[in-house]
Amino acid sequence: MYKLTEEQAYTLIGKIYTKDMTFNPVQDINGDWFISPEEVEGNTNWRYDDLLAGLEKAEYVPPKSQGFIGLQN
Amino acid sequence: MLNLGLGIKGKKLGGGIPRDPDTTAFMNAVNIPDNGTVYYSGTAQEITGRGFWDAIDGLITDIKDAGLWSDLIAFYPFIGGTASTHKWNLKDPRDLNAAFRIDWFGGLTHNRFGVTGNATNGYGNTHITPSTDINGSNSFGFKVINNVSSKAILGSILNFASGEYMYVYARSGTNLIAAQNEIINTGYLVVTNNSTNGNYRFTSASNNHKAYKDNSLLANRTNAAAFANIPIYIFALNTDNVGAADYSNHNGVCFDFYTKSLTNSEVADINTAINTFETALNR
Repeated sequence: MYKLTEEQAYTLIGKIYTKDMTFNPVQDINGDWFISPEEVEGNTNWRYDDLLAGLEKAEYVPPKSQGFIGLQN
Repeated sequence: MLNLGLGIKGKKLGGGIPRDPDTTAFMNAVNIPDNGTVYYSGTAQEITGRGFWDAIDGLITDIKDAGLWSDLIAFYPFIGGTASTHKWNLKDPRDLNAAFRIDWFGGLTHNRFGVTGNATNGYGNTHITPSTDINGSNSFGFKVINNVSSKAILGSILNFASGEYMYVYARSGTNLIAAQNEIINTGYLVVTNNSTNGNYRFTSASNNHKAYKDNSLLANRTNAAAFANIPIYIFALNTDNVGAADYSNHNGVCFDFYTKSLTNSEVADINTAINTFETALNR
């Protein structure tokens, strides 16, 4: 996963990265923001080329369970 | 399909034989012409545009022959290999939320094998809301072709502690876990499932819920029905409409939803239709 600043995350939320695909920044267990390799490598939207070019991969630790009943997470 | 008499049916051939109008509407939306253009060249899934039209025409005919077209509200056959071709609803191929056209988010892989989640942030919003679109007798299903233990293949859940849950974990460890539009704190399904691959189908009539894998009945339960008023996501859960969670990395080749509790024979008919369709696409 590629790590984002909070400002970068809010820049990308809801924006199209390639036809019919929308960025979905997510927070990990520490509250840090990330997007996926598929989004970085699949981006065809020139508006975000510079932002994505500066990103680096970092360890993503999934957030804890929200306690859904029945689900083993 | 062509009815050749004596109960024999043959596939329609392209180039001159009229297509079902629903085939034409869907394939025009997908933007694949009915001609000899080759897709996925050099792969085991190589197919022409005409081949796609034949496969979709056969699928629609089989659903209609089973008497289920009018009960169908959405079928996502995932053909064409891109987010733009995979978003369309076979039943209503308009580019509208109201037509249950999928919106895609995050890191999903779209290719000749359908759609694969990434287990971290990829999902699709079907815009199908249980409380308004499948409230009452209903069925839903999907086909998975990768054998992985993962999180939610689909879901819409409201009120975490005691509310309206609809979700499926096709295989979490060695269990299939599901809730079929029901009150979660009084019941849900857990049944052994050691291989993810297959056709999954869930039917509900009033408070009776059945689950099938391929044509085998896995469970027949009773629990109070309840329908969330937030849309169903695929490859993740929609949780209280505040975001997606429990992303999966399943490879789905199709999803379908009905406003009817399918009978055992209708489950078999739909599974046969889907398997015939997927065989035509060699996936």
